[in-house]
Amino acid sequence: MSDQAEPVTAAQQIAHLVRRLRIIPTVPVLILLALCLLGVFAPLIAPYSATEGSLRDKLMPPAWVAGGSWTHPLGTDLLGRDILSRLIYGARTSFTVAALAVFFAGTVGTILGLISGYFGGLTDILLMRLTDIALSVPLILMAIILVAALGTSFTNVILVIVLLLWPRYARQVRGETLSIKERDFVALARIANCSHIRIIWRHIFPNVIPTLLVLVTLQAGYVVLLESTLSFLGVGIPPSTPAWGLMIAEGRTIIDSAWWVAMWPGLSILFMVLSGNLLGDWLRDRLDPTLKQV
Amino acid sequence: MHEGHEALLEVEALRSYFFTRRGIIKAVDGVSFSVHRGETLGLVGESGCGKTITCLSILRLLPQPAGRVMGGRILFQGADLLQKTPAEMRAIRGGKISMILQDSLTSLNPAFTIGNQVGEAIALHQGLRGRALRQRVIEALHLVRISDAETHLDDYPHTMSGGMRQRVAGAIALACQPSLLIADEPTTSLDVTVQAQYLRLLKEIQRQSGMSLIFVTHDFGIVAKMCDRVAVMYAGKIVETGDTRDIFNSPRHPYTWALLACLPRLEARMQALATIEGQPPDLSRLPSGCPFAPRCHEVTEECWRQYPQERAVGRNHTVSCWHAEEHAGHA
Amino acid sequence: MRRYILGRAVQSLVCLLVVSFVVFYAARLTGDPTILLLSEMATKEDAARLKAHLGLDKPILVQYGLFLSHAVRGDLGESTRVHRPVIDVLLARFPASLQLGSVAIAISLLIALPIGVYSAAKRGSFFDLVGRMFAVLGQALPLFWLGLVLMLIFAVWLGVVPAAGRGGIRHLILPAVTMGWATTAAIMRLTRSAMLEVLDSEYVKLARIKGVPEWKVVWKHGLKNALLPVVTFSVLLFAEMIAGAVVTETVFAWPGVGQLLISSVFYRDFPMVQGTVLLLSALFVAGNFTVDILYAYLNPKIRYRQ
Repeated sequence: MSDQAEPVTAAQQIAHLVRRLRIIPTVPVLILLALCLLGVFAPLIAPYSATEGSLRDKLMPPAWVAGGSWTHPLGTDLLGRDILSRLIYGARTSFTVAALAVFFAGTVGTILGLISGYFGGLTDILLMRLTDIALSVPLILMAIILVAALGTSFTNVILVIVLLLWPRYARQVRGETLSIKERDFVALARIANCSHIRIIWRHIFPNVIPTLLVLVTLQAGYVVLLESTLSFLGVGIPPSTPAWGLMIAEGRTIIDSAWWVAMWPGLSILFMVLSGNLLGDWLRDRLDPTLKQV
Repeated sequence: MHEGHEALLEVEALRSYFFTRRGIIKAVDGVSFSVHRGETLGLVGESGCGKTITCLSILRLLPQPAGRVMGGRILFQGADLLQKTPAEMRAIRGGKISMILQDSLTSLNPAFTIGNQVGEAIALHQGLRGRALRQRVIEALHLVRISDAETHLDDYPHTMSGGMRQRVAGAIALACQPSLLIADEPTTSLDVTVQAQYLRLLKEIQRQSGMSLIFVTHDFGIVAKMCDRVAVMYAGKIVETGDTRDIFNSPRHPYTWALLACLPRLEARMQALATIEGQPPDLSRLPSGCPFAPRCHEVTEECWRQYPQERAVGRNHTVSCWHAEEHAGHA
Repeated sequence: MRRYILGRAVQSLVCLLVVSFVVFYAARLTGDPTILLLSEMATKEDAARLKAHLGLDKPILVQYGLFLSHAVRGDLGESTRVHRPVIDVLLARFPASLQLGSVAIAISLLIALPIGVYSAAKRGSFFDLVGRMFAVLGQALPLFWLGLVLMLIFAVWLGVVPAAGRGGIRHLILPAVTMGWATTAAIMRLTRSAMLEVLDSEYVKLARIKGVPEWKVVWKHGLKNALLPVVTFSVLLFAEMIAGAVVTETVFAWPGVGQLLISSVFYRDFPMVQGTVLLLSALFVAGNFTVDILYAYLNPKIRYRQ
């Protein structure tokens, strides 16, 4: 542990550079933006339909492998559908599910968290017991059985995810509310006879937003993983909609002969979730270092 | 009082900087002082002035990787500590030079018994084991006036009172009979009555063993009780040094003067100090002149331009102020 | 400590009850079973008689009570696919999952803990950087895809291990690595951040002041305190591990409880689905409870209450 001046090692320089690059998380943001745009403009960008293919072209390898062609740059699947197009539409699915799930779970959780933290008392105790229970239940098992029971559909998947995710927001927001509640400007607002709703909306909620932002970004990645896992297992998005998890499931049985069918969707998930996580980490470092790092 | 004796510890022009994202923080910027055998030196100043970093620098335990000793010498028993190998430093730490930290609740490891923690120091430096070790641990606890020490050997820190814990911290520090003990505000987190007891204990132990003591504090009341000499720190530099009596009777630096005028208590942030206006300086953006200039009542053009040279104003009494001569007679 | 354990026990019980109710109610959500069982010519009276026979006309709480009382006695109904008691099939499948799970966890811990500790001790070094990149990657990877990729590389292209099924050690490698991947990444991150916090503490500073050699500071003084938050947070990982088990067993056709769950869903064998979810949840709750007790033991502040 020398504390004399010593030359900085290469490793430290690389780390320092990486750290500095992270000052603006350019790469994750670009990737997420690209994926988002792909999803939004899918019908305009995708070269082919995602659901129809010609059996004549089935199982074509990617363009740079023997047997492939640049008409289908990433290859085709068992039904002759263009994988690149399916990937693009899949981006749309993933983004939509993530956005909707996080939005609803976040809204419900935030409202409940704000109420619970602000009013305290019996409401708070009840709500906290509820979130404790909800958080102690094994998420994936509940998701599987609920979707299995309700039937695989787009709405059901989102519903189940929201049901299982809102407690996290509630708990985090409640914690923040509790500490913000004690601050001077809230006391002043109360002295000024502001209504509770006004205080919550105008004073407490804006201060909760940073934490919420971090949570939302980190959770979005998790939702994408969850949805694709459920789809892969057959209890997620129904096969009529292109989804990355489904594509991997399709590619599983033919992995030895047509590796590309499962490969590209997996990489897409990886990049999306990784970018989301990195962005979330960066946001957390900037906005709220007190959030426990897991 | 102690001229003629070679100093036990001599710090010369010590500079310790922190390299952070915001810039370079010059926590200790050219600090020099000495401590003789059996002497107690008080290191006084507000929070953030560099007292703790000075102490950590002596032990070469600056927080890594940001902290670094940039220059100077630290002569302990004639040898420069900054030149020693890690292994040599480890032998010195706890053995020859020891330290008591401010908050015993956080400085004692919550996962180990106090018997274990005291024993570890002894085992490390004196190589004892088994029953001999246990015996020494009990002696060390007796030294700090913990009666029926045997029953406490298996206690965990969180089950003890603050005063008792700080005694245990003392036992750990004193177990190997160090020549120099650094006490970093050891009584700040104690009740007032317990404080007095603890200080008396330290003084007694020091008298018996002839150990030197560096006492870091922001409380001049404690300085008056405990210290033979005082060094006043501001913004990483020592602004005045002298015998306690001289400092109290004729403080020469405006900062020292203001501190004494502000008794009884210095709080952590300057806002609480009624009579010294302004803020402590940002240690990453220090001016070229005297750092106290923005808050000084006697400030002149010269003070802003150049850092004052250290000047002797009496026997054992030095000051770094352009106007030191004019302060003679301020009480 | 006793009060702590009691509190945790109550919480576990409540959790089990909630899960069992969800499991029970989910079956009701699948629709009216009598429609499937009756022919088209059946009359209303026939339907009513069938309902009464199946106990479907009683209030829902009574039905739930009956369900629970049967479950506790080990009667989880009969599989509509293989026409054997659910409990028998579960017990037959369980050892396979246990084997896979324990190997995966063991690998995880053995790799993740030391790397996490070392990363924290050598913060900022190249090792630390690589470790952290690995951890970040591990948490973003879809497990099922990882399994397929590993299978592709090692079983199909390199041919060093079999692609699927249960057998000897060679069959165990890929599934165990896959299943352990996410947990390894998570535990590594956890350990590292817990250690970093601990290494910044005052008592670690004091240990250094005492002259304790650095390795001992890290591994004795630091780790013992860092394990506590790691243990606490690893509870969150149990859910991941169960998800991992289900996915890994499906990908590698490992004949365990997880794979049973998915195939039962596929074949609409709802009693079996209920049974597997119940079993896995019970394991989950039991695992959490054990970790809670372990935590109480490790934390002297809880173990030795005045």
